[in-house]
Amino acid sequence: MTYPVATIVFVALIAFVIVLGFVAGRWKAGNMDSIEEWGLGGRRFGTLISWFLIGGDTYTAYTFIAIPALMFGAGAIGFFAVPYTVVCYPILFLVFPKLWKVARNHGYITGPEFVRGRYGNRWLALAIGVTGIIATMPYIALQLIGMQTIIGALGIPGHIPLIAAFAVLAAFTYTSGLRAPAMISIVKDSLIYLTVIVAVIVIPTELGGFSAIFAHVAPAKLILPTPPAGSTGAYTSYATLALGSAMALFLYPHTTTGILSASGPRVIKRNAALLPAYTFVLGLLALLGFMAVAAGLAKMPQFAAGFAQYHASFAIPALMLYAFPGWFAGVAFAAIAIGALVPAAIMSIASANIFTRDIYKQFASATSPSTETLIAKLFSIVMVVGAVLFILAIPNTYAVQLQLLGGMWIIQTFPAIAFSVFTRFFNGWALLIGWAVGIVSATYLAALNHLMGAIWAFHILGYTVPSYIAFATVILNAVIAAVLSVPFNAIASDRARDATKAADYAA
Amino acid sequence: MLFSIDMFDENRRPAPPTSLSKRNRRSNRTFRCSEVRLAKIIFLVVLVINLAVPFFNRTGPALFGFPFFYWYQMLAVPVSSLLIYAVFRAEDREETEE
Repeated sequence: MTYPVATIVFVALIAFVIVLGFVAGRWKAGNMDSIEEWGLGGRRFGTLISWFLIGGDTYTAYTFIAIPALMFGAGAIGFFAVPYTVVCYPILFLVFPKLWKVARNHGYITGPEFVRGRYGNRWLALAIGVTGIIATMPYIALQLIGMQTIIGALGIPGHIPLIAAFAVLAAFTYTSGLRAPAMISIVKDSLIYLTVIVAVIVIPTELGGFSAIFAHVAPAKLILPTPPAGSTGAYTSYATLALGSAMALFLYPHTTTGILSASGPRVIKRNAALLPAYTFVLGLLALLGFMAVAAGLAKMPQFAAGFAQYHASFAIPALMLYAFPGWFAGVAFAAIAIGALVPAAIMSIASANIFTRDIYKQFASATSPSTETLIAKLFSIVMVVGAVLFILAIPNTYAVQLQLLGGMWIIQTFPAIAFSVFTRFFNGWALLIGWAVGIVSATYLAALNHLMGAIWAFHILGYTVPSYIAFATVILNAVIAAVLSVPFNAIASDRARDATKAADYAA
Repeated sequence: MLFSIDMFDENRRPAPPTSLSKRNRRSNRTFRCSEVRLAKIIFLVVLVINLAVPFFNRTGPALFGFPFFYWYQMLAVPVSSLLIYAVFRAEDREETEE
C-alpha cells in the first residue's frame, strides 16, 4: 500500500455507500415487481432528490477526470464543458417537462417508447433505443476507467478491486433499482462539493494564488487561438462543441431516466435553474488541470509511473495526492469513485428499461409486469458485466473513441425526441431516414479523423467553418427528415397512428 | 428520515387569485402570455452570453487573478441560472391564472 491512510478512508467510504445502495430499496418502498418502481423510482423524486440524482448522473467520474485532464493537456478548449453544461438547461426546460407529461399519461418509461407512441412506428423506436444502448456502453466503460485510475493512483494493483466494486454495483442495482443511485448520489455530490471547495482554497494558497497558477500556463493554451483569415477557427469549434454536447446530453438513456423519475414538470423546470450549481463546481474542477500544470506534477519522480500509465488522466489524482493530507486524498478519491458508481448504476438501469420496453416486448414477446421487471433487472447485470469485460479485453483508448462516437450517435435522436414534443409535422419513416443519414455521415467523418478528433473543418461559401461533427450532422439529419416528411405524409400519412393527444403535452 | 422522496408536493401550484374581476383577469392573461413569450427570448440571451466566443476569448481584464476568458464564463453560470429561474417564475404565474 503506497498510501495507507488514503486507502483506508477510501475503502471505508466505498463500503458505506454500498451498504446504502442495498438499504435504498426499502426507502419509500413501492412494489419492486413493477418496472416503474424499479426503473423509475415510481416517478416520485422531488426537487432536492432530483437535483442530486440528475447532478450525479450528468457530472460523472469520467467528467471529473477527463475535463481537468483536457485542460492539463490541451488548455482552454477543455473549458467548453462550462458553456456546455449551461446551455443544456434551456433545452431541459423547454423539452423535458412536456416529455414527462406525455410519458406519465401513457406509462412510458423511456424516450423511444414516446417516439413509438407518437409515430406508431416500432422500427423508429428500435433505432432510437439501440442508439441509446450502444452509446451508453462505452459511457459505462469510461466510468470504470475513471475508477481504475483512482484505484491505480492509490497503488492498489490488479483488476480485482474494480471487478469487486462493479459486482457489488450490479447486485444493489438488481435489488434496489433507481432508488440506489438516487440515495448514493446524495453522498457522492456532498463529497464532490466538499472536495472542490477545499481544493480551490488549499491548492491556490500552496501555489501562490490564481495569478501565479495562470502564469504557469503557456500563453497558447491560456485562451483559444485567434482564427486565421477565412476561417472561424477555434471559435466555432468551441461553440459547436458546447451546443452539440448540450443537445445530446439529455437524450442519453440515463439522463432521460433521471428526468422522468422526477415527480412532475415543475420539479424539472426548477432544476433547470438549480442544476447550474454543478456547472460552477465543474468550472473550478476544470481549473484544477491548470493547478496540476502549475505544481509541475508531470516532472515529479513519484508520479512518473502514473503519468506513464494513465497520461493526462493522472493529473487530478496526482494533484490530490500532492496537495492534500492522506486522509483527505482518500475522501477526494472516494468522491470520484462514487461518482463512477452512481451514473454506472443509472446507465445500466436505463439501458435495461429500453431493452425491455422497446426491444424485448416489441420484438420477442409480450410479458406480464413482473416478468417485464425481471427481464430489466437481468439486463442491467448484462450491461455492467459487458462493461467490465470491455475494459479487461479491449485497450482503454477504444472506450474513449467509442464514447466520442456515442455522442455523435445519440444526438441523431434529437429530431425524433425533442422536436416531437412540439410538433407532429414529421413522418416517422422520414425521421428514421434522417437518423440513418446522421449516423452514417457522423461515423464517416469521425473515421476520416481516425477517431481522434470530434471537429471537422467544413467549407461553406469559401469560408472554413470547423464544427463539432455531431452538431453538423444532426442539422443534416433534421433537414432530411423535414424535407422527406412533406411527400411521405402526402402519400401515406402516419398521423392517424399518433397515440398521444395535444392535451398530453400541456406543461 | 432526513430526505423523503415526496417531501414536498412541489407540483401543486399556488391557488389562483380570486380577487380579480373576469374582465381584469382576461386582460391580465394576455399580458402574461406575452410575458412568457418574452421569457423564452431570455433563453436566447442565455445561449448568446454563453456562446459568444469571439467576445470572451481574451485574457484581460483579469479579475482576482483570473483571465477574462475564465471569470466571464464562470460568471455566466449564476447569471444564466437566474435568467432560467426568472422564466420559471413568469411561466408559473401565467399558468396559475389559467
